[in-house]
Amino acid sequence: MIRRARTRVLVLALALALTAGIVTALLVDDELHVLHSYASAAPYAAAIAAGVIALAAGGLAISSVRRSLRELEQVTRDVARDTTRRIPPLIAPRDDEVRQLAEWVNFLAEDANRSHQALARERVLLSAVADGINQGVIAVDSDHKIELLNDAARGMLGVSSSPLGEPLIEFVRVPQLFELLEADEAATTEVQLASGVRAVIRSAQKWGGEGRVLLLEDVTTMRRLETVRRDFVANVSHELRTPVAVIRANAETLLSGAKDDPAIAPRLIEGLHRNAERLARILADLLDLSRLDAGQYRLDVGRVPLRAAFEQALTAIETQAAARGVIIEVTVTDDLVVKADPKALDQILVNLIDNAVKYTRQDGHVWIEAKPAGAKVRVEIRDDGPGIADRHRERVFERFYRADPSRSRDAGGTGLGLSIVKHLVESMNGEVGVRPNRPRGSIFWLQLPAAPGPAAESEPS
Amino acid sequence: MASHTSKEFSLELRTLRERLATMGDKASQQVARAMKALDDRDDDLARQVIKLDAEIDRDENDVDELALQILATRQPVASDLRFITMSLKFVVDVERIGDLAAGIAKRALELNRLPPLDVRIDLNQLAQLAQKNLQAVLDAFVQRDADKANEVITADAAIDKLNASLFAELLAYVATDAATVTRVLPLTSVCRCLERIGDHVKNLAEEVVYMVRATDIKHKKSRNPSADS
Repeated sequence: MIRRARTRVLVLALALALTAGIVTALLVDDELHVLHSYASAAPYAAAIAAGVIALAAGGLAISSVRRSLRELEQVTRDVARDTTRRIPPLIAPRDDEVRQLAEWVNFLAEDANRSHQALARERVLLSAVADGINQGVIAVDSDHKIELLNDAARGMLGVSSSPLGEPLIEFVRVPQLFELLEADEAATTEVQLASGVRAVIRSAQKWGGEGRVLLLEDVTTMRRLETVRRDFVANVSHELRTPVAVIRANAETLLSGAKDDPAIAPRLIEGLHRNAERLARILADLLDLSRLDAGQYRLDVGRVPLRAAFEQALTAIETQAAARGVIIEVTVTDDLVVKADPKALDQILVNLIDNAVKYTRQDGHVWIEAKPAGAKVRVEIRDDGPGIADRHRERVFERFYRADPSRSRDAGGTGLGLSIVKHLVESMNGEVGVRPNRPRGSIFWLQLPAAPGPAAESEPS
Repeated sequence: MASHTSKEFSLELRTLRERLATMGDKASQQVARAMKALDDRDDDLARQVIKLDAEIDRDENDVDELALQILATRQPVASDLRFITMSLKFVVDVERIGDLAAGIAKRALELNRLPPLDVRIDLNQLAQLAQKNLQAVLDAFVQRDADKANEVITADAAIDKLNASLFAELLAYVATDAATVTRVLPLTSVCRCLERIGDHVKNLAEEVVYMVRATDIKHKKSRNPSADS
C-alpha cells in the first residue's frame, strides 16, 4: 500500500516536471503546507524538485497509513478484550486495505464472540446438569485443581466456598480418594467422610490428559437400612426361637415321662404356658405394627385430658414400681388436653413409664411432666437409671433393637414396645424421641397436638 | 526442557503435599476409630486399628523416600527447601500419632476383657479436642496458613488442662474403690496417649509456621502471660 501511494506521487511529480519545463521546487511539511518555494529552468533542478516532491508526498502517505494502523491497532485491542465490541466502519475511510483488515478483525471478533457464548452456555448447562443429579461429581485437572464440583459433592465433602481452580487437597483429605486419582485403572472404593456421609467413590475417566472425574454416591441411608434389616432378621429369629425352644424342650420332657412326675410336671407346664404367652405377645405386637404400617390401625382421635390419662396409665404400673422401690412424681395441670386416641395414648404412656421404671435403678426416681409447647403438649418421662449410650440412642425405636440384650430380655419386653409407641405417636400427628438426662438416665419425650378449649368442656367418654 | 523439568518438580511437590495431608487424615481417622473401639467395647475395630497402623508406617517410609529423592535430584531452595525439610519432620509426628492411636486400641482390647466400670468416665471430649486440633493443623498445612497453625499451638493448653482434670478424676475413682485399679489404669494410659497426640499436633503446627514464615518457633515460650499459665 505504502509503495503504491509513494509511486503515485512520484509519477505525478515527474509528469509535472516534464510538461511544464519550468519547475517550481516546493519545500513542504508533513501536511503538504508550502514552507518555501523557488523556480528554476535548469533540467537538473526539475529532477531535484520532482524528487523532493516525491519524497515529501511519500512520507505523507506513510504517516497517514501509520496513523490508520495505529488507530486500527487500538480498536483491535479493545475488541480482543471484549469480543462483543466491533471496529467502527469510519476507521481509515481513505485506505481500502486498512478498512478490509478492520472488517476481517470484526469477522474474527464475531466468530470468537459466538464461540464464547456457546462455551458459556455449555458451562451453564453442564453445571446445571451436574448440580441437578444426586451423585457427587468432582473433576480435577492434571494438577489436581478443581475444575468442577457439583452441589451434591459440596454437600458430601462439606465445602461451602467456591473452590474452582483451587487444589483439591485444600478441601478434601480422604486418602482413598487421592489413591483413586493416582490409579491408572478406573476403580471404586467406599469411604466414611468427615461430614458423616458414607460414600462410594468411583474414578470415572481421564479427560484432557491427566485430568480425572470422580463420582460420589451417598450410601449412608442404604447402609443404615441394610444394618436395620440384618439386625431385624437376626433379632426376630432370636426372639421367636427362644420361647419355641423352651416349649419344645418342655413338651418333649413331658412326653418322655415327666408328665407323670408330680415334682417336675407343674414346673414344665408353667414354663410352657409362660413361653406360649410370650410368643402370643410378640405376635400381637407384630400384628399391631404391621397394621400401623399398613394404615389399617383404627384410631379414634378425640379430646383426652392428660391428668386422667396419666392416672390411668399409672394404675397399670404402680405394683411393679412399688416392688422396685421406684418413686414416680407427676407434674401436670388440669387444663392440658391433647388430641389423641385414648386407648393408643394409654398404650404409649404405659410403655414409656413401664420402661422408665424397669430400667431405672432399685429405689430410683421417675419424673413425668407435661407442659404446653406452642400448638402442642409436650410430655417428658425422665429417669435416673444408667441411661442409653449415644450409639444406641438413635436406634432404640427400631423393631427388636436392644441396647443391652441380656438385661432387657430379663425385664420381659418383646423388643417391639418403643417401635409401636413411635408408630402410634406419629399416626396421631405427634413426635417422639429420646435424649440423655443429666447427670444420668434418659428422657423420653413426646409431643401431641393440643386440643383447643378448656378441659372442663371435654366430652364425657 | 527446562519447563519439562519444572513441571515434573511441581508434580513431585504436589504429590508430597497430598501424601502428607492424606497421611495426617489417616492418623486422625485412626484416633477416631480407636476411641470408638474403646467406647463400644469393639474388639474387631480395635484389632483393625492396630493392623492399619502398619499402613501409616509404610506411608512414612514412602514420604521419606520421596522427600529425599526431591532433595537429591532437584536441589530446591527457599520455600521449596523449607517445605521438604519440614515434611521430613512432619511425617515423624504423624507416624507417632498413628502409634498412639494403636496404643489406645491396645488398651481398649485390655479393657474389653474386664467388666465395664459402673460410672462412665468420658474421655471423648479430650479425644475430640485432640482430633479437632489435628484437623485444624492439617487445614493450616494445606492452606499454608500460619495464623491457623498458631491458633492450634495456643489450643494445646486446653488439652493439657482437660487431661490433668480427667487424670485427677480417675485417681479419685481408684481411691474410692481400690478394686477398680486394673480397669482405671488403662484409662489413664488412654488419657496420656491423647495428651501426647496433642503434643505431636502442636509440633506439627510449629512446623507449619516454619514452612510458611521461615521462622523457627520451637522451644520458645510465648510472651503472652495468659498463655504461660
